[in-house]
Amino acid sequence: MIKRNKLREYVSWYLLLLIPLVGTLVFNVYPLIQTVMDSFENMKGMFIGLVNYQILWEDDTFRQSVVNTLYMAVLGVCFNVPIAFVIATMLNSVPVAKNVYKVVFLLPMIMSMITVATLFKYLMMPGEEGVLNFLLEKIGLGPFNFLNDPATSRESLIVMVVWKGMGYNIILFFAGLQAVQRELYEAAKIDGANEWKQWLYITIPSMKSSFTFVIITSAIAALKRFTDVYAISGETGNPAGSLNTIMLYVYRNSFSTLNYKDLGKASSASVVLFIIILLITLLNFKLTGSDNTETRLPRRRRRSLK
Amino acid sequence: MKKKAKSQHIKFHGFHILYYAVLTLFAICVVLPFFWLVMTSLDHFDSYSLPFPPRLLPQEPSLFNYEMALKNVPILSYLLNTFILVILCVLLDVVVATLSGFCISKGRFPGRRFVLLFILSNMMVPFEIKLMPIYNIIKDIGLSNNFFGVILPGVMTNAMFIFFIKQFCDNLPSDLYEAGVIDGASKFRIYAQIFLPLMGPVVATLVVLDVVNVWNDLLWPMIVLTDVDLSTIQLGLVRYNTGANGQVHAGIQTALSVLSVLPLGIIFCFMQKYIVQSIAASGLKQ
Repeated sequence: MIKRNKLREYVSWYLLLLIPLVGTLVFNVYPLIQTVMDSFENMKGMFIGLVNYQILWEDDTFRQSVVNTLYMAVLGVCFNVPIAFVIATMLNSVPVAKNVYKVVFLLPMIMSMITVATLFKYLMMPGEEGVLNFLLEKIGLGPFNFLNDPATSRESLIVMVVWKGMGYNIILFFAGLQAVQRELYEAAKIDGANEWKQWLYITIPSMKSSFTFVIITSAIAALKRFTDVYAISGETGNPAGSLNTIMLYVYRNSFSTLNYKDLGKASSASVVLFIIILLITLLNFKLTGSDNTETRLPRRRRRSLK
Repeated sequence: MKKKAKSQHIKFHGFHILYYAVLTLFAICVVLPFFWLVMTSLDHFDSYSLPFPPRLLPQEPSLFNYEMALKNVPILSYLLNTFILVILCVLLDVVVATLSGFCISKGRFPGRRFVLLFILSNMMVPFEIKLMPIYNIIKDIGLSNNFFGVILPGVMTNAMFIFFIKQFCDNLPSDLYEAGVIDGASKFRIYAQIFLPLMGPVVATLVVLDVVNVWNDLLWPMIVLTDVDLSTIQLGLVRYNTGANGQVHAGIQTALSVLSVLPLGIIFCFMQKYIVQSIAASGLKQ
């Protein structure tokens, strides 16, 4: 009798959790398996083993998309993280008006990538008509072709993306700085360490987990890069394929309105992307430690949520 | 109390002048392009391209571009579609996430840890790599060109929000649940009448985050909503920018861009505290 009651109790919990459980099964487990299966099949649904992967390997467009994706990911992280960190520590140090700056830095976050792309297409218009070229000419530089020249398009895109995303990382670092133990600074002050030395020997080492989080999340987002390149150049990734990314390649081969479609190629490219992202995620677990979510400064965290 | 104590200890140092200079310079870099966009949209110019030389303030301030945008592009219908989509999505996201988070946190049943890991597995597999199979499911159950087709996969696999709520509930005393059980309330009632009202701040944070994400999402709505009449604002912008409505007029384009940001801008003004918090929390939660 007691046992039956218990069973009913258990089942009722599972029933309340039905939506995410079914959702995970239908929209995560099944599609993942399906994508992997599709990557072993040709257009007619025949099993062809690793042929799709071989085709990918020999496909110059795909190789280009991998190189572009990785290059832009590294460039974005190297550009974004140090600047965001320095700005965040400055913001943390100044006595007044912190919130004003925070709000201003976050302004681009509410703009969609499409809007930001429209804005930067005008700002970075090639020739002297472009606003940036107009300004750069005054200090004797340029004119650049920015997004229209394969030699500068990727760097220009990163400038645009960093402009949009920097505020987000600044806030993340700022939140991390609140969690650094005040006692450490007090001790350093007693030992006579100046502001610069405190930054170097206390702030930076204490922020290890924040750095890991920001770098890993930016890297994963950069590997899935789609909306920004799509907003700039549509599904082709022009000029000269310099803005072609893995996700753009996947999209073109799955949903293109032009004659690109090849589901086998798209699926195998998805699997390759998944493996890269999975490796980075596992690296993240390894770096931060698996029990991290439970143990790291719970008191501070709770306060920051209020 | 804490704030008061802090404000008495304000101390200026010499290097703060340098810091303020850098921060202000940076803030100008952030604001200026945005300011230029708004000003250009309020400028009157006859050509299809932007006026040359570029100017920061409108020479002939007018709402001409906005009138043209409203006349030539079904922007109001785009906005309405986006409103509906956002409201539906946020509502369902909040209900599912709060209920599931509560169950995982306070439920006592075998396999609880496995259920949590199973749901969290959604975060390990990016949505982007499952596009085609998910689209096929949505198509098969007849939800392509339907707002529910856009939101269903996200709502049912929203591991991040569930985890957020779970962490929040972990900090609430279990006695609250026990008290409800003793009073004979059902699990759903305990959730709805005891725990949900306590989740106010964390729900507000999630709502803000969700509104911004859904409003600005492009890839998935673009795949599901091929019907022009169902276009969200982002799809409408893409359509205009690629010249589907005829030659692209720079003035109209800037006006459309501003209109597309305006609703979020208004929310941003009132809820900036929650936006800042939501980002900070998402980092610390990891």
